Amino acid sequence: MSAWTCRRTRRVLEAFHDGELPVEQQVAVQTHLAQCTPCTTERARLAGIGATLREGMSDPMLDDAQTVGRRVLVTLPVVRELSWRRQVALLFDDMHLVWAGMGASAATLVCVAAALGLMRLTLREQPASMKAMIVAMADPGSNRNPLAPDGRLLMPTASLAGMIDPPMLDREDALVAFAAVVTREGTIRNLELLLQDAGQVPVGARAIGALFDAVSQTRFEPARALTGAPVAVNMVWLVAQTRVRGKTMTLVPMPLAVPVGRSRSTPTSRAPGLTEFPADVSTARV
Amino acid sequence: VRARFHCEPTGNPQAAPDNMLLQKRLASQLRAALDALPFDQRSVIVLREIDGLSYDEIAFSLGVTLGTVKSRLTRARRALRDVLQEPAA
Repeated sequence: MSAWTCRRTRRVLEAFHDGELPVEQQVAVQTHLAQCTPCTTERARLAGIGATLREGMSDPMLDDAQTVGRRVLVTLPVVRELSWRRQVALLFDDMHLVWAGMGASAATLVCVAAALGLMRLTLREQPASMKAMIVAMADPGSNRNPLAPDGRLLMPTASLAGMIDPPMLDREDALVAFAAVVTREGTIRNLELLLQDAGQVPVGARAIGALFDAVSQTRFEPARALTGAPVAVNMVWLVAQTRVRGKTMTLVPMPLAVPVGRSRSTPTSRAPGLTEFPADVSTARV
Repeated sequence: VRARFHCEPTGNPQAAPDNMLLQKRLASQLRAALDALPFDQRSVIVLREIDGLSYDEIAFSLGVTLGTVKSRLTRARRALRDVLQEPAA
């Protein structure tokens, strides 16, 4: 152990005098004092102050001082409670603690902000998460886990108030299949085009969009289980549009007299008085 | 300093009255110096020197930190030492 300097000794001399140093420092200071007269003199001054306070006072003064000490112990908590200004001043009495407290507060705020951010991220429901899948599987017939329609279900029907007539497709013959989920509330979800067959020219995207818009806006009476509870079901719709070209017969007046010598009627491949008028007046939709 | 303020038996019969007079005067100066100290420093020096409390006990009693106790004690002792070292008027 290296010998202590006077400067180092003076810094802890009071604590040494009061017996508040650790043992190794106490020994080091004692060793230094044994060979340093100025430090010994300084220590004697410290001791003199205490001795003067204790011994130099008369007994009444000593009693009074002790009474003061006890009174301080009793009244100080009250003073502390009453004087908020004193409390604030004490907060900044030791700046080391102030800086440490500010650092700790800042770190705490950062931690709280990080925790809140994580909570916000984790609380956001992820449809593809394991939890969401388990919840959906545990509730068949919910909007996330629709049922396949079978004989035990009352199929959904379009309500009259919410029925929208599907628009015509832009091809004469077309076949469009699409799937959707009719939810418990009777709305359409997850509308998906499965098939379109319109010959060589496909149905235009605008016509498909108009069809989907009409279907999406339609309100259904939801499918119901045997218990009467509404359930969500997967549905597939098939829209087939066929234009049927027909012939319209028009009756034309004919003379009643038949010339003699001529057959009354001559069957022809074409009936007289019938005129063909091509018309595409009817469209069958399924 | 200790020899200056401490009453030590001597062989001189005249020394005892002189020491008593000196002691009384120092006590008066000490009371004045103690009263002149700020309340914080006065409470700390009294609790330490008169009541003999440790630093931790003083800090707990006053509700302050250990460093605050040390600094107040140092300032109080310095003030008392300055007063006691002044030549008696």
